[in-house]
Amino acid sequence: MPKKRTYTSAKSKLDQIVSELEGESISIDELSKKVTEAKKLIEWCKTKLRSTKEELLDKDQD
Amino acid sequence: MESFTLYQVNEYIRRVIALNFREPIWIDAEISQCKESRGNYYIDLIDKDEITLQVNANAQANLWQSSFRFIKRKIGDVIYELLQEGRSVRLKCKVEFHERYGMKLVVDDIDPNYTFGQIELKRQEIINQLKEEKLFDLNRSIELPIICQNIALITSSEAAGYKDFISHLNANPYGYQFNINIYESSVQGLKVESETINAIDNLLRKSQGTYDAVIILRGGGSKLDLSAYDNYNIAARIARAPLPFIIGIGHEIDQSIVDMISKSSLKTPTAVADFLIEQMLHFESSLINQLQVISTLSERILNSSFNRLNILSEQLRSLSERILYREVQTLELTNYRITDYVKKLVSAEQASLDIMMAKINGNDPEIILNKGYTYIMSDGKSVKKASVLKSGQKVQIMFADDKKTAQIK
Repeated sequence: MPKKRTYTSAKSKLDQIVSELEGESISIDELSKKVTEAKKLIEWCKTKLRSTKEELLDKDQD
Repeated sequence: MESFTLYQVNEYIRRVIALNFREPIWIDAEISQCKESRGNYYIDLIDKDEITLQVNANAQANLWQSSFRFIKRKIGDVIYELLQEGRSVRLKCKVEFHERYGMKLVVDDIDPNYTFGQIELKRQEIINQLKEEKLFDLNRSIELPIICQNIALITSSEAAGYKDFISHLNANPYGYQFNINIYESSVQGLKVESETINAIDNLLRKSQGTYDAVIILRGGGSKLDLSAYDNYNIAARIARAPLPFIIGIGHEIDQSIVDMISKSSLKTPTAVADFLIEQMLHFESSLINQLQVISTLSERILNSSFNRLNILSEQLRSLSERILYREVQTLELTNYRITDYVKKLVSAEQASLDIMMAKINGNDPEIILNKGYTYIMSDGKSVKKASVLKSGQKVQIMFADDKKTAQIK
């Protein structure tokens, strides 16, 4: 099982991709893979910001 | 033995008291109970030993309607806050004794500044204690998550602040969603402490990672109302909790202790909602920025690879052209050399042929015969010496135009 993705992990992965691109050490073969990955991460975050987690909605009783 | 009637005794006490308490006096005490009836307030006052907290004095005080109106005109609605169970108050009272009803304090005036001062003193004590126990900065040192989307909310769902908060969150124009679990608790009065603590304990029982943050909300309230949150036990619970607390308990200027020790403190429930929405908005726009940066960078990388390819192909083209040109040059040069060589060769051959032709022409017998020379043939052979010829031998004399046979003598 991959580690659960969080906003924080998504953000740091994005930062990593940006710094890799800034370093320009990335090969042209990797480039499209990285860009696709970045787009997926951003899409994931945007969707998650707009969705509710059902299991939380069960009201707790005191 | 002389004896007195009870009335006589009480009447005597009344006179003693009246004599000794001509003027009203200021009395500091704590309200243990306060009841209102037809505009009159009936107050039970106590005095506690500072150390043992044992009640060491109590008395009844009455605040008549007329005095109440007078004080209310002077200090405003804060009077309702002062006349609460548990408040330390300074009251200006006439000390009266009635033969039948015993001792009564009749309240003329209230000094609200005393109560504020007491509250402030108590606050300072709590702050000092929290600092001494190293609890003061604990919650503030927890990092707030990038996004607070899963929220444990401690409030009273009947309070106006709660409704403001929810409707403000739901009205966000970006479509952000929040998962909110409400933990009911009184937000004013004496139950604030126990119910808030109970709520904190309950929400902490949820597994780790369920909530990003805890929010305590309350609609507007007075300064004295806020003192319910100047509470050591609530503060200590928050300090020891592993989640960041965000407080919006509706106050403009003053901060309660709960505000001070929590990760974030905002003025109103609406401000808390704005904070949560802005946090998401900020996060999302940073994502969009990142995407922009990524596409600019990848375009740059693509372009530079493209340029490299272009340069390479340009180099390839010019290089091959140069090689081709050189080869053509070499070929032409060779061609020229070959032609030249052939020409020279041919003319040299021509010359030697001419010489040979001249030589050949010089020895041509026909040409010699034409000049008048003849030669003699015998038996098909040319005769080069006269001695070989015998008398009577027939020979052929060869002329240019014909031959004649002759006989040697």
